[in-house]
Amino acid sequence: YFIQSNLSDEMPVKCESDLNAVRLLKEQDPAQLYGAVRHIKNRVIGSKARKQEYLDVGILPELISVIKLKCSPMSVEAAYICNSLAHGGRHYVEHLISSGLVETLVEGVFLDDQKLVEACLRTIRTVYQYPDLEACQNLWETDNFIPRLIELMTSSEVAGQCCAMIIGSVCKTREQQAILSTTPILANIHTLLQTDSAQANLAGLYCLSELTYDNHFVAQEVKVKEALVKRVFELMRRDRYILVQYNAAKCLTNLFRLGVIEGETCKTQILDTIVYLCLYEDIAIKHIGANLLHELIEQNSELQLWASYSQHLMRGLSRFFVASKDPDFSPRLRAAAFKAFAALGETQEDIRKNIIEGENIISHLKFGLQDDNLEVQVAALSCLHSLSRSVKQLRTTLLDAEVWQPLLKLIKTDDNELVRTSSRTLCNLLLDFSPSKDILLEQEGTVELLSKLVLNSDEEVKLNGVWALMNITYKANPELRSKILSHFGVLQILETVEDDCPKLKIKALGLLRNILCDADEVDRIMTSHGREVLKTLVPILSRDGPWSDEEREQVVCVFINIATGHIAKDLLSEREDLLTCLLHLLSHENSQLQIAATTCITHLVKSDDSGCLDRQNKLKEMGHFRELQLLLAARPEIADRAKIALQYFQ
Amino acid sequence: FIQSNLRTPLIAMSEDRISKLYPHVNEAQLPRAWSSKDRWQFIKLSRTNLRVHYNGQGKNHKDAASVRATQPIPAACGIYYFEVKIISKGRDGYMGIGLADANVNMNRLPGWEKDSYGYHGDDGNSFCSSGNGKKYGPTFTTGDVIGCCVNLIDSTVFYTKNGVNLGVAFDNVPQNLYPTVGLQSPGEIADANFGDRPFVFDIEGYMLEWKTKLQRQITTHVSPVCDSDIDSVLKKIVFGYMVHHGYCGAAESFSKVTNLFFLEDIPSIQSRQRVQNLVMRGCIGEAISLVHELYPSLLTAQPDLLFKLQIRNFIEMINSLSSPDPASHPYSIASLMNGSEEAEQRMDVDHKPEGLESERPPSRQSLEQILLFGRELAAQHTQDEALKQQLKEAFSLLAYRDPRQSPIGYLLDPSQREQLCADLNSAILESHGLPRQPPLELAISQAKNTVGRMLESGLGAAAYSGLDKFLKCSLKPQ
Repeated sequence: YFIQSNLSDEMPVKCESDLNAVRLLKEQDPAQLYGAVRHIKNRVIGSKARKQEYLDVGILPELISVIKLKCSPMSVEAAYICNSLAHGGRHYVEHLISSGLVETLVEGVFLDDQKLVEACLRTIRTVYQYPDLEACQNLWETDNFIPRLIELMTSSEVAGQCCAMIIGSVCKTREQQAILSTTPILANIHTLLQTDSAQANLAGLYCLSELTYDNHFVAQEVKVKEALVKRVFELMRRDRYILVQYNAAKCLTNLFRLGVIEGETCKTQILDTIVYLCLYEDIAIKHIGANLLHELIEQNSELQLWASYSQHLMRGLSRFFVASKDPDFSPRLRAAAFKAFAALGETQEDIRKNIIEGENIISHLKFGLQDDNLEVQVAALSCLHSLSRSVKQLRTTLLDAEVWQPLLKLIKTDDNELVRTSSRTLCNLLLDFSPSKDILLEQEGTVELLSKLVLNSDEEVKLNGVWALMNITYKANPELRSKILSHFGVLQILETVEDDCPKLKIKALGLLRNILCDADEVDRIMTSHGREVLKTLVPILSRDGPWSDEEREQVVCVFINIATGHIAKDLLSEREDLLTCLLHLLSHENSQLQIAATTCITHLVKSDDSGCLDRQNKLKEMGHFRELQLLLAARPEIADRAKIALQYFQ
Repeated sequence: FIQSNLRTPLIAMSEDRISKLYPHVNEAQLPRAWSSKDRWQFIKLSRTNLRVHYNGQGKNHKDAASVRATQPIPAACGIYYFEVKIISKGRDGYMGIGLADANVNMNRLPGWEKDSYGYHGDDGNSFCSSGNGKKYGPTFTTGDVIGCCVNLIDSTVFYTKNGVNLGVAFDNVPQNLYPTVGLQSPGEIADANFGDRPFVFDIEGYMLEWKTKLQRQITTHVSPVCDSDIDSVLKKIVFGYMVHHGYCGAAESFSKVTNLFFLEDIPSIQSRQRVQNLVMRGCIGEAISLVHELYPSLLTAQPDLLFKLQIRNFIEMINSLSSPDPASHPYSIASLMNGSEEAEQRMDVDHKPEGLESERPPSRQSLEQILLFGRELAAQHTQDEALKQQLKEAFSLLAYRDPRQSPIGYLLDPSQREQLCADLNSAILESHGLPRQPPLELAISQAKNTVGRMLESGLGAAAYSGLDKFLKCSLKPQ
């Protein structure tokens, strides 16, 4: 985030001496050559038009050969011309890369000539402002390049700045972060932070934030360097240049998320700075501030609470929705505000209430969901998702606002991120206590839509689909149930149960449980698909399987429901492997599993229908009866249930 | 010069903390505790009047009780801050923290009455001179630390809870308010911190924000005078400074470039410079002779100035006597190399001084000679009490074995010559009908005085003018 001066566009003036200068680059005479590069440099700096002009006449190969002479001062000047060209923007940088400039500059970095080294470093830095460009990826692999940069960091302040910027922009993976952190780079960054130059501070902080981002290992390395952390806190103070404050806050946010920053004072100082950025007059600062706020407080309810009452922040954020003077920038501001509100309302009901009542967010949300800008839509959705975690809001504001309408539209789009967030939100809207559920189910094609989600290749969308289906089958009438089954049949459900993703498995079992909710339905399904159901579920209960207790409990719960059916009861009792599993679960160390198994047996031995005597005898024979008797001595909540089961045995 | 700190560390720490927070205010004018007189009867104080207890019935709002701090908040603080820790919320937690004017009824919670402001724990509302609260912040209770900050620059008030800034609660707040706390139910206890201990909230960070903001405003301020006028004013100031202090050569070159005219002829400037050099080097006797020679009637017309010079002469004699190692005393070096070429080269003068004899520093004299000189001085008649005092102090230097280490050792410091030198220079200029002070000094005095007057008249922003740092001086009222 360097503030760039606006380059003035002058009228291109084709000048004979310019073309001549380019011709002179081929010159052997050092004095003439030097004169030519000086002339070009002075003309090209600050003028976009001339940059293009020089590119058009094919200056690049000539410049590269001049740099390759490795001869000061003309090679230095040639490198600076390239640097100036790179400042022209992405398009120029692409040109520079494709002409092989970077390789030449990298060679230059290994020379002994400090001035030329610095010129090469500066130019590489400018080129690497666009690390997403394809050709930018290979610097990490260049032999000895990164070690050379780390070595050069201490050679001068300029070199230090450039190296820090370059390393920061090429460091992309956890491994790279870890490798770098074992070099003296942290000490070198510390040196950059010690100076009073804002540019050096910015470069150091940028590099540090890239190194520490989401990396526990590096965070621990930084933590032990107490003086470094202390310095970053100093750079976050209000007398510093605003972007230095921002970058310091960013580093500290990274460290905080990794659990390295402790202490109330430290936390409030970081929060205070970020809130200050959010309320700063400059919209660019507001924007990066709100995004950083989201990173700082998400998944931390304490900071969410503090932020919610810090400096009327929420009022400040809702002003982001007022159109700014810069129409191109407005959407980014709106998206940042939605993201910040989403993080604020993530865990606490009171904060959600304040967001909705205090800041009239719903009207902004409705516009946001229909915004032309994708980023705004996604952010608005995540905000809506956050608010939809509140039972009260689901039943009041969100119902009145008919948020389901835009939601149904968004879920049908092609954008994966939109589908992901909207389906996540839809799950909450389809909860039993949400009145929007009935409205949604009255809409044509809702069930079909949800079934389609399960077929999506995206893990999360799939999960959300099953989740939503589970929600709508809860206490569903037979009509709805059969509608659901016609779109998403038992075999499909069983297939989902067999999925590798544990979350998905649990939700699929929940869905199955909700489907098998009354005796007639159970018998119908078990008659048609009993064999497949048992084939899928019984193995999950086996002692040696890789399944978690939670998954096993869900399976037993499905069996509890199945055991309410008449035909189904017999089907279960025929399966000795299942009964053995239940027997083992009675003495399981997890009391939830014991309770579930006890309940399941109770249903099997209930004396209200035929065949119960046979089942009782079988379970007595297999040892369930004795095991239940032993449970009478267990904790009350287990003993009580065991007692009920035992009463049914005659 | 590093001053030794003789105060006990504990007091020093809290006093330092307070004077760092409010560098332009005398500590005696700051609120430091709750007032044992200025309180409602249901308020009990303990712990050096920093802890507040409620001991009334607490039946309804008529039983509310408040206490004011000993002093109102001085506007010269710029930004003022105090914290209250809730030790116990008592029965109901009806606690109010805020500010009140001297006349506000203390049988009320802060905020209910006209000219009072409060933030209440039970509902988190803010009360601005009214019984109806406005939604403001979170509620607060036992264990919470609530801070109240008065910004006298933009006349706003904000609160903090456990170190988090809750944002502006009131604006257009008047001056001369007292920190106030009010309680209303039995068992309520609160402790105040007026800056003696570290705060939970980072108030220094907030002050820094405003300091930076105001100083940026000053440095980016566009003068209503156009640039070319400023330019010529600045040139005159620089030129005036050079001429005043006798930097002839520099002034001549400067005048050539800037086309500024001399109001004084060059030999006259050089003469003044010679006199000044003598004084600054401690050769007072020779300086007096030279003044008599160049400006015969000057010292006769100003006997007090002459007397001052003679006292200084006396001190310089003691000075030469008491410096054991001549090398440690820069003026003694000159005395060893009296008249040598090197001494001449060391002089930072524009023109070669005429006659090295007159540049000779005081030679070492015997104690007897010095005493004799002192007695002659004492026998002279002066009406000025301050001068008599000065002479007395100078004499007392002789009482110490090592006068440099004595409490008045500073008198021996060469920097003490500066003022005398300036006085003499001004007197010479005045006798020629020229201004006593150069324009630069006038401008500095003007700025200092203006900031001082602003602070006195309650303009909080003046506390962060940064002028003291810029001029390396203290603006604190004496």
